[in-house]
Amino acid sequence: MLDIQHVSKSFGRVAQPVLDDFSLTAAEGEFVSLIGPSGCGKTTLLRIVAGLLPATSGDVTVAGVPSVGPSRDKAVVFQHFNLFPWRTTLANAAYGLEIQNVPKQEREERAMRWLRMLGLEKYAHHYPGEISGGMRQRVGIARALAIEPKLLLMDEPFGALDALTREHLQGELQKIAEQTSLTILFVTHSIDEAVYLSDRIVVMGTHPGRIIREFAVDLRRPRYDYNFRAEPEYAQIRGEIWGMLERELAEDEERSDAAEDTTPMETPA
Amino acid sequence: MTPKPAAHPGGAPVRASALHHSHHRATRRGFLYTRTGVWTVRIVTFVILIVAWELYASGVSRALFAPPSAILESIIELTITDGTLWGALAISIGALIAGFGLAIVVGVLIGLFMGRFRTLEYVLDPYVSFLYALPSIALIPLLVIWFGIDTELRLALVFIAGVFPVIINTMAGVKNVDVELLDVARVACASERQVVTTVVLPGAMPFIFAGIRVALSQALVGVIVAEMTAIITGLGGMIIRFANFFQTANLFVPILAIMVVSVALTAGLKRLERRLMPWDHRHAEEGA
Repeated sequence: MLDIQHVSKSFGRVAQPVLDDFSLTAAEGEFVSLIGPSGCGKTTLLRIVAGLLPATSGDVTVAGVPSVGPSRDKAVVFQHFNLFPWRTTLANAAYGLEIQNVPKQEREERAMRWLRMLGLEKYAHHYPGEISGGMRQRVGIARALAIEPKLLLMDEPFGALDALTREHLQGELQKIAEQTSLTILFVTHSIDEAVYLSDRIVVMGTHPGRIIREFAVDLRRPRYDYNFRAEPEYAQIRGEIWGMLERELAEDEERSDAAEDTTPMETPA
Repeated sequence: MTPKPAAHPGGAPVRASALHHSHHRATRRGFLYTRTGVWTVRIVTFVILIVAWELYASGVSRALFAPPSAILESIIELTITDGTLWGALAISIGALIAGFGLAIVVGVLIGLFMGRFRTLEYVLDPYVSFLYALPSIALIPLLVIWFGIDTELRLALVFIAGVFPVIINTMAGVKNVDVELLDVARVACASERQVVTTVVLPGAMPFIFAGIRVALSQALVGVIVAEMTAIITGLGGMIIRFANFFQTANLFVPILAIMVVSVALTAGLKRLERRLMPWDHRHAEEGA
């Protein structure tokens, strides 16, 4: 479904690439999380797959078709929701369909279906400034799903929400993932979130951004029905990823310390 | 000659904010902080002012200063008895609204293109900046030579006074549009036209309105000055004619009329703004 082959990305003349030879495939209906410290290129990768950013080299294929720019089979849920403040909930959710020139009545019906599913029908005619952060991100999710994409790209979608709201939305996302055949690429910095949601977790490191290891998460689904955190597999995966990220951070610090040593010290006059 | 303070439509917002302020304090108990209290104080002080003015002016030559009673007589005469005020008002406002509408349409279009296409911005920006910096009243004699002293002159003057603030603000608004919202449009595969109509223009709207407000005050100054110096018709012309004959009481009537027009146009603009940007007057939007 999603096939990322040898993607690298460098910005300007900086010698070290942000992303170095990144390859990943995801099957239809698979939920894959990218996790890693800031600066590991996970958001950059997501933007390349979304078609918002060109890769310096490498190929991305979605459903067998080379993906070089934005396309209608991909949708993005953004970290900061990115709702249009001048559009109501319904008009925001129907935005993608409006761009595809779907007639007004049909697009509002289709958007409304998702709003209802996400418990937002009462707020259909509210502006984003009038609803809570959690509701705004639900609108963001409804907007992405309304175009019925094959691939859903989520860039730390719950990072800006409080813990309780986050957990609630994670549950809702899981239900949506179950009911559809959506392939989801999910960027996060929360190990807990990654384990909760994913079929597979890709741990990334920095300088350059690359894959360190992949984990399959075999915890029984649906995971919102039981205390998955009490399972031994949860503790094991969590511990392994945590250790890996900690080592990565320590190494990265050493690397930057070493880099500092080579630069001349500034001496006070 | 300093026409700016007299013609500046800044009166309305200041008033509105003063009233707003009193609402905040209404929670404190006390007559002065209630709505009735505020209006009582306003009316009482207004009456005191008028009486004092009347008393002072009755001891001075009518040619120098007119008492409120004489001004009231003039208002009745110019609006009802002979009604000359309405003709002057129609002349002044007709061209103002037409020229202003043209300035908004053209200004938004040019500003939009300059904001979207960098080459165009690089080419046009010096001209726009310099013409914006030039007080349009300096162009009046030249415009008289080109357009005569009829409607064309008024239209040209209002247009020139209004178009540059609109261009500059539209361009600033277009360039200021949230890149994250542009991402949403790009991901949705929006065409350039769709990007402009669904993201750029709505996003730039607050800036465009700021430009229109500036343009309105500039255009009003332009019209009144032209009427006073070159055309000698309309409200500005009325002021000059009355002043030349030391008809001080009459003189106040067009001045009051200009104030009313300016406040009314500003209020109308505010209503339009609220109508076009309903989201902007509800709760403030926060990034996340």
